[in-house]
Amino acid sequence: MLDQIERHIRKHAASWGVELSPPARMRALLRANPEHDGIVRDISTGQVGTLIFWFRSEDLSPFLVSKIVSPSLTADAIAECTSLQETANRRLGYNLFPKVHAVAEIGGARIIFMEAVSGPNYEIQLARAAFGPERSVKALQRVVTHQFQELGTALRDLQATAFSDARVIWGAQAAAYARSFLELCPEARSIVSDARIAAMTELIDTVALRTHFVLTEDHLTNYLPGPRAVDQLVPDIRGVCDRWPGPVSGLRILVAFFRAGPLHEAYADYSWADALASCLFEDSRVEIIGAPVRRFLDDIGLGSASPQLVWAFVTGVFFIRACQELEFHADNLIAKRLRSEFLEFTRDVIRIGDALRTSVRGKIGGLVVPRLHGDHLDGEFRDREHMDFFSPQAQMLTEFPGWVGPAVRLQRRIRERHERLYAVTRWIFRSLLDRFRQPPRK
Amino acid sequence: MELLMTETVPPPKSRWLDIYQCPDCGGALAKNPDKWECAGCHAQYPVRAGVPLLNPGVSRSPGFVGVMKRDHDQPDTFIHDAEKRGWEAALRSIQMPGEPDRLIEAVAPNRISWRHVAGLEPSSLVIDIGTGTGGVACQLAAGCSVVAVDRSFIDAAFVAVRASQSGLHSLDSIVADGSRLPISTGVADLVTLIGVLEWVPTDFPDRDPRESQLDALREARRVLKPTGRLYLAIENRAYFGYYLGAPEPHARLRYVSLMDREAADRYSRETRGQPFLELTHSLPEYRSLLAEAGFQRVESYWLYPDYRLTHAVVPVDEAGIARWYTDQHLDPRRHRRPFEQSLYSFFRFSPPDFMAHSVRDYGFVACAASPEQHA
Repeated sequence: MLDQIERHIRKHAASWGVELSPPARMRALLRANPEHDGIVRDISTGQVGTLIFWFRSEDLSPFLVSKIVSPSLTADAIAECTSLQETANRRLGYNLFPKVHAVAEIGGARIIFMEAVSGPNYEIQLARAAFGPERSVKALQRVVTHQFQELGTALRDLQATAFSDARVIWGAQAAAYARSFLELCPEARSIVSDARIAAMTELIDTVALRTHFVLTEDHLTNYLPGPRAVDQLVPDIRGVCDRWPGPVSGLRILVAFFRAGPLHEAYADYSWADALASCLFEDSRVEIIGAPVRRFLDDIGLGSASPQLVWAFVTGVFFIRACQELEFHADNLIAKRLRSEFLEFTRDVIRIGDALRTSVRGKIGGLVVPRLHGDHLDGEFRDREHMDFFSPQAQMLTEFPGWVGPAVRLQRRIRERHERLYAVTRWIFRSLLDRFRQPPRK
Repeated sequence: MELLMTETVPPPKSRWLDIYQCPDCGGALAKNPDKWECAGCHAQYPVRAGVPLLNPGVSRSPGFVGVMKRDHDQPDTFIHDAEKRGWEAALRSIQMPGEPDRLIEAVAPNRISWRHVAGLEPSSLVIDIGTGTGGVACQLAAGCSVVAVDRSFIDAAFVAVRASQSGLHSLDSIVADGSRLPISTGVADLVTLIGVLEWVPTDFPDRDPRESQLDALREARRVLKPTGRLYLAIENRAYFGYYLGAPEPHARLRYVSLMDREAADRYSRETRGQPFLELTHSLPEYRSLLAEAGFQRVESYWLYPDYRLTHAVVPVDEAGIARWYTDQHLDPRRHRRPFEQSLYSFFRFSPPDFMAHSVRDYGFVACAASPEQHA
């Protein structure tokens, strides 16, 4: 099949505006969806198929991406998605969504040809900042701030693409998702009573939300960097945009960050719901991730909403996520484990909702305020307490150059000129340091 | 070895592919429900549980159950269980704690994520040698014709049951030896050797291991059409992790694959009491092995994270592409322990050429003949 796709690219590259001189040798890098490891019966995930990154022999980055999608994503659906994306890009004045050059049927499969975008995706960036040899609290803060800022800006800009001025009262939909969730996970009936659903609906119905072109894909395991992580090729895109108004789309991304991404693992000892709640509502104690998250909340238009209302939305979004995951994995090996996980999450979400009932922002009682996992972040917190000039973190935590010693100055110089050498040196230094350190303080 | 099967024989397969020949003399085979008979040398090959045993004389445990190379005490019970309760339940029943999930390895779509580089067409005929539990064969059979070959009866019978229960009529499962395939010359579009070539020499302990591997490759080339391809997936002898003390996965000995062959053999005999036959090679060695076996246009790939469940098929002929992949996609969460973090750092920061020669698993796509030879 690769031969056929290559021939197609050679034939049409010029019309797509892709430069490809005929003698150039093309090489293909295949990337499959890692989630397919755990999927047993339903292998047609539709949205995330096999990606093929195309390289010209002389290039060090791909010049084109082709994507083999499952037949569930019809040509009409792709055409509609593409047209909506182009409209959104035009209204925004810049290309938020990657350009889709063409769609073709090759060898019995549907292939999408797309613009290639370089750079690690959000998930990899976050994972490296929190778990890589280059990990540090400052790096994590930098990455989280950048990502939420980028996403917040994208979502704010997308409000300019509103389909109409009509506003949606979303409570009934949230309640419908809650009931669907209870059907998929009947054990949760003892936790989510009708009264609770009614209370959530009532709170959500106090605001009317505009619908516009939203970021539909909340998985972080996508392949493009930045907000363009979203390729938006969803079969019923218009319906999705109608059902999930802008702020709901934003909260879906937020829940995904805490539920499934590296942040979830950085808070390994705590529930993701506690981590999210403390970032949203605790002004003073969790600045590393909390500040960017609260700015993101401002960007999606819920900055001035009460904690109770924000959490009612988060609860509704949680039910969407639960329904999606449980339906998708209904026949798969992990279905049972997933149901019990979501039962626990439901307890957490409801408990936090109860704790917020009588609170105001900044003065929350009864909330668990998780700390980032000290082991994963390799002693950054310990270094704050026992810092010396030889601590690799010292140069990041000390603000003014005059205050640091020669070792730290040397590190800074190396980092400026030789970034990779610096990263390796730092990792070696940390490994040696770890041998003599005390076990982490819990 | 005589197999002690109880009466759990499924209905005989009604339609076999017309590609089989006697493994001894190459004569045509008459396919009767209970035995296949050679028209040339009159050798008879029994059919048990619907599976023809086309490797007479190979003394191998009948209870050899794919993938994890662990013997099953009662093969007849296992196959009976697969027929009665379904193949998935049977596979679950032999799952041991700490092992990779057998069911996932048998069904995960990423077992065949490499298929696009192998040039498969709906009309292709694939021969999957060393099929194990059918993770590759059964998935490929959904789109083309497949012959699942295994030298173990229980694996071949299990795949036959699985294919029958999954309605895969374009899959034949046979017991045969990969070095002496009972298949006519020049019929296959693709031959797959996935995690198999390194084990070939263990069947011929008195021969030079490399020669045994060459024979298996030549045999694979024999059954390929001139336009056919071989897909070989195997570990790298010079994997960087071995330098850091990771045990060699076949012999389960540290540093053994990095040693000189003779030294490795002596070391293996002294530590585990058996010769070191599970030969793996470095990237240039694989290329020369394939060239020596007569293959043309060998393309080399890094299979990340491994060849079982492959998430990325990265060309390593141009090292810059592998560097791009590690820069963009290498996830440190897969490398948490200090040893693994060293690996992660190595792959992120080492020179591209060095990295391309130090990855764990390789995949090779090799053409049976060059375009000029096709003509």
